[in-house]
Amino acid sequence: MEDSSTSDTKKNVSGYHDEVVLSVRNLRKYYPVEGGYFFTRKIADIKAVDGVSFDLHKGETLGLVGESGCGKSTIARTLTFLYKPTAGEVWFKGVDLRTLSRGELRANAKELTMVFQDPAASLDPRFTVMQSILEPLEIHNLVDEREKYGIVRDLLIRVGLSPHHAYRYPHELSGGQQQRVGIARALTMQPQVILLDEPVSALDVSVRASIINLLIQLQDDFSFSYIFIAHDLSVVKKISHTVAVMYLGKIMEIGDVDDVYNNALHPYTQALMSAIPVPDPTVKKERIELKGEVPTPINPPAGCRFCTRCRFVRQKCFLEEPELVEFENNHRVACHFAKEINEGTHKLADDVADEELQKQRGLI
Amino acid sequence: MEDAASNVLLKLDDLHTYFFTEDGVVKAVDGVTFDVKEGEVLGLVGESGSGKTVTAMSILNLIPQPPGKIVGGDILWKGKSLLDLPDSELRTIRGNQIAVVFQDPMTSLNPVLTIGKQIMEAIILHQQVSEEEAEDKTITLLELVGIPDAAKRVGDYPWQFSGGMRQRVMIALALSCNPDLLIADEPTTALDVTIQAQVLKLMRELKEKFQTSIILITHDIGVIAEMCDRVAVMYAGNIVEIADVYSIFKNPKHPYTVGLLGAIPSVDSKREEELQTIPGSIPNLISPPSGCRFHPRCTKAMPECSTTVPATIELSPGHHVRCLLYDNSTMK
Repeated sequence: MEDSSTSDTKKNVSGYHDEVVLSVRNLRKYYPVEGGYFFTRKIADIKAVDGVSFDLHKGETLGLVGESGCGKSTIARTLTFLYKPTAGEVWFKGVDLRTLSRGELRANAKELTMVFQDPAASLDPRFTVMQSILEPLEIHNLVDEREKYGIVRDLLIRVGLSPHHAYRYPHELSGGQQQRVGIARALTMQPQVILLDEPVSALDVSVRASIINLLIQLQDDFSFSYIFIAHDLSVVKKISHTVAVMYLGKIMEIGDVDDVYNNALHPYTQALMSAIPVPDPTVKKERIELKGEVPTPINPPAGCRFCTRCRFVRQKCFLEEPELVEFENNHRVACHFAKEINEGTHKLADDVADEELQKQRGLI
Repeated sequence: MEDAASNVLLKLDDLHTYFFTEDGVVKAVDGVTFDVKEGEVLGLVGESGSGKTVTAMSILNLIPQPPGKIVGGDILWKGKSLLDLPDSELRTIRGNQIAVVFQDPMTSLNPVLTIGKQIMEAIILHQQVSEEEAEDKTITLLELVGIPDAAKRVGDYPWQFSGGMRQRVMIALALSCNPDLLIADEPTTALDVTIQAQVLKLMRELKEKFQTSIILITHDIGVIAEMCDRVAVMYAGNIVEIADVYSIFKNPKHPYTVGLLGAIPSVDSKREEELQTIPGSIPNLISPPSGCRFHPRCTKAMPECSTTVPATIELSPGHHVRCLLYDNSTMK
């Protein structure tokens, strides 16, 4: 791989380029729930991703956070077309991927690659590292026999391994080394976008740090765009430029990483951020405790999806779904009362003497 | 370590637990010494394969045998050795006085029994109570750990609960016999942050209410900082440093502890700042490195580190470290 990409456009203040690489509009992915006695038929939909829109810029890392079942991984899998989206548009370099044929999609897969959570499970145990790394090239018929070894050697060095690892099998490598091979394999095709689905969750602390450093280094060198999915909020903070907070298949808040972490607008984001354990025993953090559980995505609440657990909830939240609107520069939030909450003029639902509202909260 | 005047509940004295495998002897726990006092939360932190879980399993004598075996040292429970006890007596301590909560609540609950049955079973086994009393007690316990509508939910099966709720059931089960010591092995690792916050809060409240001592095993340093009174850092089967939580975080001494703390991204760290890493990877415990087990990865390693096994040194009261850097008897 040669250093080709950094020169064409200048980075903006947020640390990435203005050019949009991937544009997602109103993406939906429903999984059918089947039932019936003699004939299986669809009886309901699990609305795993339900209307998600965002832009990914060149050299940008978009962190997707949210609790299990919020649809983060489904987004990654839908974008790579491992699952076909139910509705919505995915624009990649000016083309709507939904209009492409299978063959065209496959050609496209070169530029949109994925790194998975469990490095041991995502590498073929019977392939040497070299075979694993070259497999994508072979699928796309791009291997030149004479260059094979050179490509693998360069990639291995690039991800911090040494050339002799090329002839090893996955079981001979440590977890961190396996994940480096997984990253090398994603880089083989010189992609534009890399989807990282919990790439460091299975790794130990000391190894995790080196993989995070590697990912940041690679992005600085080649201006890849990342979609980084993780449940560890500190890791997401470290690597991301932009963060989207998801809840029940929807983006509740999206914005520059510092804005979302330091000035969370949505009550859900505020609760999420307050729950991060701080590695400092002298800090006693005030927790916003979330009551109850995440509702089922088969039948999400009408109105705002977070209304069943929100401490600022009002009547309106049960009836009307808030749109994701811009609150301040590049910082968007889906909450009817974001402004009031942010100004501190919005009372907690517990303190509101509104019988109807309290009844509604009790009913759920 | 001095017992001092404080009431030591559990004491591990130079514990060695080995696994005899076809490839060789895995020295999973190799000379671990610590104690747990009444009402104290002791954190056991380290990377995978450092021996945290094997240490905990040794206390309960749950090491699969063979291939595992406690080959040396002693475990003293309220001054009495657990290793000499016959199985029947051990069983009255295990579950009754020492309870355990595992990482994955789904695999530790019986899927074909209602949770009410499972908790009642433990209560009836360890306490002389009637079935009705046991059921009442079960409902009280489930309410205590924050399960809504407990009276109705005792009849539910584990799969009908969410992950966080299942972990609460596990805690209720562990508490059913008012244990003196709760061993929690990665109790929140499988949970989401907001649920994790709930479960940790619950454990804190229980500790305050019942003065239960807790051994908290985790690799999450944030959780350690939040929960523990004292922390033991494990590496490759040894405890490399043990101290109160403030000393560990503010004044870490062992190079491994320093490295571990530097490797975690804090919420305030900037993207441009490179995270500290510890070079290399954890050693194979069949043939661990000679001398100090950390020396091949240590940035401060000296020539003698590869030949001399460091002794545990008490730097200040209660702050023990196992590193030659602080050993005045070796020449620098």
